[in-house]
Amino acid sequence: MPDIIYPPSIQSNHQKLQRAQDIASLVLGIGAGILTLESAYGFSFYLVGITITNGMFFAVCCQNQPDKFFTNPIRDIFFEGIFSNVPGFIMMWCLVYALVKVNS
Amino acid sequence: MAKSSTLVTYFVGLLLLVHSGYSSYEFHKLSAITHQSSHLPIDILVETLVGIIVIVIGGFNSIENSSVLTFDGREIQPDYKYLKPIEMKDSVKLIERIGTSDYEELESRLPFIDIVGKRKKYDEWVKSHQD
Repeated sequence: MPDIIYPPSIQSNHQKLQRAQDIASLVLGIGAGILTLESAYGFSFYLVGITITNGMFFAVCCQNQPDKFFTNPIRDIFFEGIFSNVPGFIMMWCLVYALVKVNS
Repeated sequence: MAKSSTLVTYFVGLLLLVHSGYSSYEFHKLSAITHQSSHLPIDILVETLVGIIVIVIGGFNSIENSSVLTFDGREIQPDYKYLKPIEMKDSVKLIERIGTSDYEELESRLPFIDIVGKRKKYDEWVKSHQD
């Protein structure tokens, strides 16, 4: 018998994941700007950073039993949020890069 | 209202990032003046990475479940620290411990409450206790 799903919990879990990824992508943008990374290095920095964050979320927040909290855990945690958070990353990257590299 | 531990973590992380950012700014200015290009010093790199990790940990701290108050005034902690279980049988446990249900609004029907009847009952109760 399939388990009955409680929709408000799914929504709340997705909001929390989204919040963690928002914070991580903005801060990674600041980091990439401070380190004055350029082109592919910046994007690989983002990919590595956001994947580590998602891994931490998987291990810490889901307590290694993600089936309890997400309907499709691997896709929801590791793949869904990556591309929607790129614009925020690029925004902070450009801003901080311009601040750090001004008149030099 | 954010928790104070979260705010402290954010503050420390931002301080680290601002400091490393200013160091990086000075480094680039200096290398532009002296016309020497070299790699960014390792300590700026380490400070930035530590700052990022601290802020991300603060972000995780901010999504913790808060404790809930039951109808009889006890404060209880949810079973899981960060997320809510999606299976019906797990998620209704907490709601039941609080003493309510998702359909409370439909069951209690506040607009249809019999005020006159309740008032009468209350008056009788007061009278019975006065004697």
